[in-house]
Amino acid sequence: MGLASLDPPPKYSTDLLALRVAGRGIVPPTPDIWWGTAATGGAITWFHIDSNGLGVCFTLKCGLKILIFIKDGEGKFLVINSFEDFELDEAKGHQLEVFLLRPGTKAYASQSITIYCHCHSNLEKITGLCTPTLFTRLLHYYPPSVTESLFIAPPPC
Amino acid sequence: MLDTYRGIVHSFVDHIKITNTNHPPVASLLRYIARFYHSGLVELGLDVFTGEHRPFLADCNHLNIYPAPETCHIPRAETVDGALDLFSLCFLVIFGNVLDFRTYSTPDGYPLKKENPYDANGITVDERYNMCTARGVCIELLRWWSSKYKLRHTNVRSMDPTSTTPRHAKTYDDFPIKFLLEESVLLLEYKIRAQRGGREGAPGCSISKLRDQILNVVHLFGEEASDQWDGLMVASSEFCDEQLSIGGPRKEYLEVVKLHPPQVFGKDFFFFFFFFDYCSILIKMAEPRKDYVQLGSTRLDIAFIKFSTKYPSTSDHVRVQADQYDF
Repeated sequence: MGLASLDPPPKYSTDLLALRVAGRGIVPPTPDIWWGTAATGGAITWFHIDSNGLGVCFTLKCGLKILIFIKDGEGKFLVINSFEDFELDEAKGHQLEVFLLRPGTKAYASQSITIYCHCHSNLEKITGLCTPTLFTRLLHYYPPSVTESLFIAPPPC
Repeated sequence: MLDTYRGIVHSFVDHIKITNTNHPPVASLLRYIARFYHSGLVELGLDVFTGEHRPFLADCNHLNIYPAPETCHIPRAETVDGALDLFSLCFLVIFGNVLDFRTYSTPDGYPLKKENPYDANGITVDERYNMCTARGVCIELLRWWSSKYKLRHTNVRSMDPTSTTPRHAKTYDDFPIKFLLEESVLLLEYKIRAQRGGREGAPGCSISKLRDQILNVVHLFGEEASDQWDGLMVASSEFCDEQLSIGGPRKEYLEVVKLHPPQVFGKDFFFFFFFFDYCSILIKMAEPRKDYVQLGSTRLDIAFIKFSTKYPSTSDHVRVQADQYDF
């Protein structure tokens, strides 16, 4: 798993660029490509895939966040029967990868071909504060050149 | 774009099993990307620029191509990655209505249950026109690619299990059509297997409805393509895992071969020579077509548009939301 700079990759938002070039001033459908969420400590989503081939970018504002990715034998879900007998809360023989994100970290996951869940640390236990864990989420298309299903930009030193 | 394509297919077939949301405006974004690719590749001929993007050509930029950050968003059609990205985008747009949840719902958003000979559904008349236009644009994009390149597959699996040469190399003259047909067969096979496992996809989308919608689009490519699709469909139930992989053959077995000379493409051709101190570039520009709607209209599109014209009140009813994205 390679590391990337904090800057978004140069071909990050082809859809917005296409709108600018061919859309004659049409406003991008921002609710469908850019939105933010906030979660309290201990919040969790079960394994899921984001719809319509949209990629996702996490920017952790505070607290800790754990991402757990499931992949098939090819590293992505390429074969059409990959989801056979698959339950969202069980990996059932698929590969698992776990990432711990710290504040300032950005994590880019490519177009929803991996299934993942995320959960938020119980800040009360870790820091003694009951502060919500905040993160923003960006849905976009990813550039053709980005082939890794996930790459992480560490927080600036 | 290949990964986007895979994500959309999974979302369409497995839906609530793996996702909890849906974003219909994505279809419009994909159509704009198709138009954007078309502008760069077909109208401006960006593919003839080889090597890295050169931001220092500002003074030589008669066509306003460089320096332009846009150029790095255009897939490199002469590479395997770029070609597969292009084909994936074209599949998503050409089969856009097939993969759209609204195709299987009423204008009010309920799953379609009755016979629907005019294909009246949750997609507005305006957006239907946009879909036809974008489909025409993508068909031309694929024709353009086939006029310049072939694809060589070095590890083709024999359809005959008793063959003494189970693997062989093959060069395809019209790989994009093969890609569209095979992927559409895989989509249906995926749906069949998912439904067999009790996994519900897009609400209201049954196997037979999906088959009808796919065949409606496949007919655009002629009788031969339809026959080929039927043959593939018969064979698909016996496909092994390797053959069930979404998004075409494995990249390491593929090679894009440039045609010398390229086939004639487009209506009129202009040739511009640019002489720089370090290179000379030939740009071929094709006059863009004006009849994309006609090129991309399927039988069901035509039936629905006639139906809407005959019953304008229905058309108004169908127009749940005016399409604010004009493509």
